[in-house]
Amino acid sequence: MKVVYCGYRGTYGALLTAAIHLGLHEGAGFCDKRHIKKYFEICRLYGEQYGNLIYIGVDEGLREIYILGCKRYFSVIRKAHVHMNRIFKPEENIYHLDVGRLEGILPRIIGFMLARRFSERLCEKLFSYWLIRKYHEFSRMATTIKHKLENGERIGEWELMR
Amino acid sequence: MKLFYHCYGGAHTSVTCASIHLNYLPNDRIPKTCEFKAIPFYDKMENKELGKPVYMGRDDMGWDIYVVGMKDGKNVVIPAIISYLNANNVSRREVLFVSALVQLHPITAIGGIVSRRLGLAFIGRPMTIWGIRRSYPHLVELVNKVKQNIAAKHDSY
Repeated sequence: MKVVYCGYRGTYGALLTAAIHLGLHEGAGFCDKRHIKKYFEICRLYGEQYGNLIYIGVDEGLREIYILGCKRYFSVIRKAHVHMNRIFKPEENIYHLDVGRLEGILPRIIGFMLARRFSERLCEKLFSYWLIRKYHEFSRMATTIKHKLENGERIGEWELMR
Repeated sequence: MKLFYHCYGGAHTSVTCASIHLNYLPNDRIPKTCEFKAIPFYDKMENKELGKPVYMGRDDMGWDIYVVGMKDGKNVVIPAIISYLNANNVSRREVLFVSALVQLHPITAIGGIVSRRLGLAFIGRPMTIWGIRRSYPHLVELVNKVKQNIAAKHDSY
């Protein structure tokens, strides 16, 4: 099974949820300065890779976890992937989870500023503020998704909007 | 081998190109209005179905021909599809994407919006057909080029 975390950009919320899903931050105080700096660097480097499926890792249930930046085309890409699956018959399920709605507007602003080479320090400060504010929401969502996937339950759109 | 003709809504120009490719429509004259109306899937794709490839048939070289609507996001959707196929070990050579949005007549675009988005097919459909008949030679030229390219590809295998 493949799980694709999608957002406007593939990084920010999608990467954070994927990392939490894989247990990369378990036990670590994620919101310390060093972690935030590293995470910001990844977002800065890969933020503009729209449409590029980025492999993050495999979870305990051997599900492959990916992230994908979809811009405004999440529903189009999801349909395209699902039907490509049927056409080429890889006999594998694929889950698309849009975490963009939980991200809020700040990652869009930070991404915009970074793409136009605005002050990187200001971007990092905004990013730090966003991450500290949103970390627990994403953590809760990743845990719910993981739990539902393990139990083979369906993940509704409303759960991603909470 | 799969060939995907894509356009904004996957309802008009891509369906016309696929029909020319599969010889549902002639390539030596401009078809009549009733011939367009007889094409399967012409002006049928719903907005909620965008992204879903629709199978149109198999051509004489054995390529499966599909049409797909991608809104204005081909620069994101096509890489997303290709990277997904890569992740599934499907060779890049097995798929070909062709944009059918060449020389799109403005009346076709307006007709498409009226028919598909506003749901007024009785006004929009004749407008799309009128526009496509104007740009039909360009679509034939595109399909001929695509056929030449895939024939050359076949020879190289």
